[in-house]
Amino acid sequence: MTTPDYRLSQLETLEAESIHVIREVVAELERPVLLFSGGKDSIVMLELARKAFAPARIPFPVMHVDTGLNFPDVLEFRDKRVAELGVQLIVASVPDAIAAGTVKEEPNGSRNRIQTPVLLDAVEEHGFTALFGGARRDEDKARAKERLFSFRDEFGQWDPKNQRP
Amino acid sequence: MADIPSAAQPGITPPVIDVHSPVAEHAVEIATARKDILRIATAGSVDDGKSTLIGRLLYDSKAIFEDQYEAVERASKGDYVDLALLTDGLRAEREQGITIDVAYRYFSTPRRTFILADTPGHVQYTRNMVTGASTADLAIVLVDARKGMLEQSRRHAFLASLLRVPHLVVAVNKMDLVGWSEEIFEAIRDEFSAFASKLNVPDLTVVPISALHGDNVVSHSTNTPWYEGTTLLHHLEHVHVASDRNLVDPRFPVQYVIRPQSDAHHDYRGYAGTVASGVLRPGDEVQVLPSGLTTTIAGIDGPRGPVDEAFPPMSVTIRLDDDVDVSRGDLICRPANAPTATQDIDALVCWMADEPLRPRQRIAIKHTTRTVRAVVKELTYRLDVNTLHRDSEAGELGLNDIGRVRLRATQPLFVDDYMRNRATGRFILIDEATNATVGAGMLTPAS
Repeated sequence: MTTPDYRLSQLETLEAESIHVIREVVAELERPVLLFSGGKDSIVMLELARKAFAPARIPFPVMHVDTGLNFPDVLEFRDKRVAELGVQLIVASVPDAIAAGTVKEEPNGSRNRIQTPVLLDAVEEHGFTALFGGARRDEDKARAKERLFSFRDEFGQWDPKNQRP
Repeated sequence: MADIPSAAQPGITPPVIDVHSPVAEHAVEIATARKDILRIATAGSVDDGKSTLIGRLLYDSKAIFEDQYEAVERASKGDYVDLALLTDGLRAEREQGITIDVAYRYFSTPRRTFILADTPGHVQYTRNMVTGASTADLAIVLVDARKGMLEQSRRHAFLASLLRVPHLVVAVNKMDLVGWSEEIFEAIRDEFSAFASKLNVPDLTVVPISALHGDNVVSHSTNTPWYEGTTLLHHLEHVHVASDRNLVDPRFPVQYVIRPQSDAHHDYRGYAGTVASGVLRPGDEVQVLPSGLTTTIAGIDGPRGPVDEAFPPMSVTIRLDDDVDVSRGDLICRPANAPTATQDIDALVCWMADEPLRPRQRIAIKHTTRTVRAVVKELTYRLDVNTLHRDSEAGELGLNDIGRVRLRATQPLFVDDYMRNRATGRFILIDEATNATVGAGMLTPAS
């Protein structure tokens, strides 16, 4: 790579910043986990994590909160990619949680809302202290207010008025 | 919230995206071109029209999708499309019509990519402004033409100068409401220039605008024939920032040690980190602090394999020729160009916690990747950010206060003057009991 003017592209800059953040979290926090569903946002996250620690393995597990409504191809890809990278995959299953009665199916059939308690339960069960997730800043206006580190209280709530500087 | 896929809906075919379409190719071009990135911090008082200006910049630079614009058009109450609705994202903000927290926005023109930190201007949010401006190349301070320079405008300009934001733009907004008066504009400009000359502002530009109508934001306004300067966007696109970066002093704080311990990479030992300043190349003789040992760089690995050189803000992994002991918090530099190693820290501190900072307090300092314990030796003075008065009698620094503080660290830190090197000239203060960030400091020489 030759860059006589010492400039990076926008993507390279964001990549460098992301790698920095991922390394910093691993250095500072005891038990991080990366949310990986096999979807496009989390593929980007997994690839950034791979780059951050190459040629070593990613030093933390990945977790999928499975709604039970995913395309089989995506799950197949998820398992294949995890095996290639040699990382541990933890699956927190929404259908299992429904069967166990910890969450209830919503009338409209969407499991977007009920996957949150399943996620929080899994975080508690495994003692995770940090979650890596990919979100697109332009998806919602409130997301532009998210910092790189989005602190949650013990109930998993976000207080945008009192974020850490 | 984290990335969790929405449920797959049987029977709905996803739209086919043509990656070779002109739109897609344009997007790829923008993301991969080696363009300058300009980091902007904005500040303004309540009702100065900051959110409207940002909405205007996003809209006029085509960073807003049609459907977003239409939604805002429907939600607008008055005669005009309320562009502020594009930026004020939190419900409490829309209800109160104010900005509460820093929001980051991205937009791009063919010349440059912009990352804009929209920071609230009220006094109680000084800490947010410090957060937003600490990495900025340029700060925009908004002034309402009807009100002129307020105490808040002074504070914003002062904070920008304190944080050594190299370029300051004063946007005199709502010019339409003062009949596009040249006299009013000139009075504000002169008053601001006089104030700025007392601060360390290397580059000041003043532009008369109407964010609501778009005058002098993207294109020259026919309402201000007397104004011969550039439009706001033109200035943002052309302001010279390349020389603001430090490419002279190599500084590489080690973030993480990479040891694969696998058969394929049995002897691999790499030091991962982000280049804080300067340029590093394989073959360079380097020194590792605090050990002081010297060795040479065997190779540098980037995200896509080995690279010939590493410069800021690249995240890389450095391999060294000799098997020297290096761990997180160490710093790699050149033997003839090393930072100052010191346990005595004399810095300007912005305090960000409810509980005040007091002498003899114990605290942790995080400087680059190095965290050490320290004790507050002395509060030399507290600064009044409105009058610039230094109160040497102050016994504590409260929330949003700024003052000069002397700290004694248990281990040496490897520091540079903030004016020369923003990355190694700043630090944060951490409350060890709560792990909260309670302050931000800049190592500037006492004057």
